Amino acid sequence: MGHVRLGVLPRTRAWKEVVGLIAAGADVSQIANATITAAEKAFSFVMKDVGYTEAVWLMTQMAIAAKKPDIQQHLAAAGIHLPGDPSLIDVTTAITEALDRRVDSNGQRSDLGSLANRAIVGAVNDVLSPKLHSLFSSDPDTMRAALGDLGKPKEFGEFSRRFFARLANEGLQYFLSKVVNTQLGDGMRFATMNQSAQFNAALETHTREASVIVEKFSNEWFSKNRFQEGGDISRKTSDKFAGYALKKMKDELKAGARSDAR
Amino acid sequence: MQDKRYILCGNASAKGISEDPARDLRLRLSGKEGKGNITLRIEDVHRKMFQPVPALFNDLLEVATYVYSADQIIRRGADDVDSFGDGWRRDLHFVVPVRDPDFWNSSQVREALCSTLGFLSDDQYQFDFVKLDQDHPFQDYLGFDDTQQMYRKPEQVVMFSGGLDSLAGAIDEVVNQKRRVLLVTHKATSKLNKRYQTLEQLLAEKADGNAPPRISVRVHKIKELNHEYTQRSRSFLYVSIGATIARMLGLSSVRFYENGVISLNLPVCAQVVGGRATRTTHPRVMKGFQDIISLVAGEPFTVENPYIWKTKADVVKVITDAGCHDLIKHSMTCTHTWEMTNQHTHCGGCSQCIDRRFAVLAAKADQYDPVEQYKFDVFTQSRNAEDKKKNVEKIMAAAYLERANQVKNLTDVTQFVSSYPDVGRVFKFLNGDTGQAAQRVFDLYKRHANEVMGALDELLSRHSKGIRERTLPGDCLLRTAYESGSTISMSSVVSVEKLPENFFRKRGAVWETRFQGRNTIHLLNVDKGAEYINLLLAFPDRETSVYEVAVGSAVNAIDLPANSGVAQEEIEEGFQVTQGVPLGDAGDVADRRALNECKQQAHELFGEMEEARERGDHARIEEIEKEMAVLLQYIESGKGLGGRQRKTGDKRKNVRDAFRNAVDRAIKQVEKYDKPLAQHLKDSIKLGNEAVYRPGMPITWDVRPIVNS
Repeated sequence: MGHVRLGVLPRTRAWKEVVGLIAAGADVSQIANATITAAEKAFSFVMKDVGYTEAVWLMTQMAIAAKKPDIQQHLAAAGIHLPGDPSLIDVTTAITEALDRRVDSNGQRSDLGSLANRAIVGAVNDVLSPKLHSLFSSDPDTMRAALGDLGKPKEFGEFSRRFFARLANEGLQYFLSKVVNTQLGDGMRFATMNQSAQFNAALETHTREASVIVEKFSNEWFSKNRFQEGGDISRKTSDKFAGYALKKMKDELKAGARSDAR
Repeated sequence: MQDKRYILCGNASAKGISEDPARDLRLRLSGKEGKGNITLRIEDVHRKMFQPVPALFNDLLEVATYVYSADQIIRRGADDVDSFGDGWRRDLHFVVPVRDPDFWNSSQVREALCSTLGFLSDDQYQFDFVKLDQDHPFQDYLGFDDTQQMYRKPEQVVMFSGGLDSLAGAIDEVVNQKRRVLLVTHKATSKLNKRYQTLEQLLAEKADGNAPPRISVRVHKIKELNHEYTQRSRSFLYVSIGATIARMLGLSSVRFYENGVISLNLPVCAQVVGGRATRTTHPRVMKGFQDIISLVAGEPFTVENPYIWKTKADVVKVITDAGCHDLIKHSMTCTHTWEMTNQHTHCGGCSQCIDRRFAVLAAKADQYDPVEQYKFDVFTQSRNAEDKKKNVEKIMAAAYLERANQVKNLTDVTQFVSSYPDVGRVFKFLNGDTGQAAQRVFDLYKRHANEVMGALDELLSRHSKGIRERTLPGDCLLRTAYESGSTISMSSVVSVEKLPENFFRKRGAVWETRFQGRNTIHLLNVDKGAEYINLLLAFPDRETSVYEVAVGSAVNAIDLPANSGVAQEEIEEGFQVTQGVPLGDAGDVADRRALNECKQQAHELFGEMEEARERGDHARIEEIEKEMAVLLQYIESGKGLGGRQRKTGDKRKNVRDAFRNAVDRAIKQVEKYDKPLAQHLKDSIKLGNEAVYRPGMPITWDVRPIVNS
């Protein structure tokens, strides 16, 4: 009991280059670039991945619900069932349940879906927690106001940026975490665990910086499409957004980091 | 997800179900009699215990055995991460004969089964239940043995794996609380028989007249059917057997004893998603088991884990506080039973062994858990990266420790949920409201993190001399965990040292470059081209014969420890020196004397070339170029680089082409990571007989190599 099984990187030239770059001391932006190139096969699965597209759909529906007369009713229709006076934990738990239900009913569990789940739960925490007094209980008005804010295009941009930053970081770590730890020890890339932790932190910063490009795009996309679809966002539109936004993120990570990131 | 596999159980027909009968798996279950390819044996059953069980429990046992067997037979496929775990997950469609198909085919039962098993093993399940044509009596699976003492009826069924947690549970029940319990053990391998007997005997001594009887369960498959060791569905078989025995005894609950950290099993790193971390006793699974068994029993049935709020160190303390510390060394935590020997009962490197080592240290009980019984001491031994298995151990130990370190530094539950979003799957299945559950889980993990860190501090203190004097291997866990234990390493992130705006140089064995102050990039597998570019950048606007460059580069490689492509006399200011990681050399030379002669000859040719140029003797220049091409071929083959004999013809063309190809390959590699630099090189480097770098703007390149002091 308590067993953990790790995956294996393929022995392709591109993956060997990733491993070689880590060992050679390359910085996170070059490693991120090489990883995305090597992971082309994995990314070809993305748009067919129910877990990923559903996470993006739930993100859009949280923003759409914000402007509806009954936020919770709209969220329930999207699969997010909240109790009467929900806490932040209730919200994140309900999102996880909604995602699990969707992938289970489709028979489409995947690692990417799990990473998308981690990303959306983390992003919801990031955007809602500063607006709430407590994680456990908020007065209904505060929670309603916090959820209502998500309907502002600027807030959606922020929400989306955090989601894609986390997804990119989780995605890169998914591929790299094993390699990084094999490069641990005196005379190797990371002499100490502190150094490998610094590398992981640098990778997180890099993905956060790269995600800045998604914020503006998401902001404008949401504003335009909500208007065009009469206050709603369809699944088809959401799926297209999932594709565009991920491509932007990938391209940015391949191009290198921006310096004006938060 | 893998393609669907049909598992046809017993005599169930595939007609109208399976699309490709050749891929179907046929399983036939038998008890002590029969010729099935899998057998189920529930042994050491005292006759006083025996009571017939309802047919639905008999069905449950068989369904669980089929699920467990298929889990071990059907491989999880390639476990690479390149397809986001597509091969890890299987699509399993069972056709199972049962005594009551209407019950099992009801949507409530099927949903409970598929949902629970899907979460437990990360696979997709589908069940079709058909009418059993030939009944197997329950007794067929039982092996009776009345030698165990059985004075009174047990009041509790406890699942007993023989690990520390279930041992503590058994001690808690029979020694501390003096309860009458029946232990149920799944024997995955006969290797453990002797250890079970020892534990049983010692437990009986401690129990002082309240020795718990034990029932053993074995599922045996024919040899050809053992493929997959992950066994994620094992606890379903285990609980089904426990519940059936409980029912036989007229009881309505079973207990698992598993510490909360392992039950929740939050990922130790990003790659651990879904069922890659076992969910054997995850609260959602326990609730699922409870629902399934309650439906089978037709009344509420409880599946409990009394240790859900304990850490493993707490569990160890239960054992020591009860005066049972001498049992610790006989308990079995490691699941790598194939590595087990009489001397080494634990592999030492798997996640369970690592967890155990930290727990006994944190509970101050490591003197009862001899380190000699671990094949590998994760704290003090080298983890050779060439050894695939030790590589995994290295990763696991570092990830385990890092997670504890991260959790220790979290200040509130919001950060915890944000850092480990998977924890959201558990709150609903713990008693109380979600907020309280979240706080309790955070407290549990925080306590565990503190215990791990405390254990680490203790070890660092014990081994401080070995760390300070560096007698411990440089990649053992203690050295890597100790911040100042090392002095040489490349920086993990972009260095803060002041870098030149433009450089193209070799650092140790690796080429690195930076253009116009942007990020440094590293170039791999394009050494020759990088070397040529380096030489061209060193002398802007100077036309250089490619033959001279190629020969010069080759002869320099004979002497230079880290070949820069720049002649020794031209870097008289010296190499740049690093105190960093030891840098690689250029490799051995096959025949040093012959190569030295080549070097001498090359220098003569350089001189003659210079004279021929001064005279304007083009015929002689062409001759010298040919001689250089032949010389280069010899040196290259002497070094073992592409040592093929070239065909006759104009060898100068070979050299020109090789030069161009090498430079092009290097620029292509640069283009992947720095397009402006690649474009600059393309625009500025002219190839042909005479190669030249003409930047068309003032630019200074640092081309000096960085080598060891």
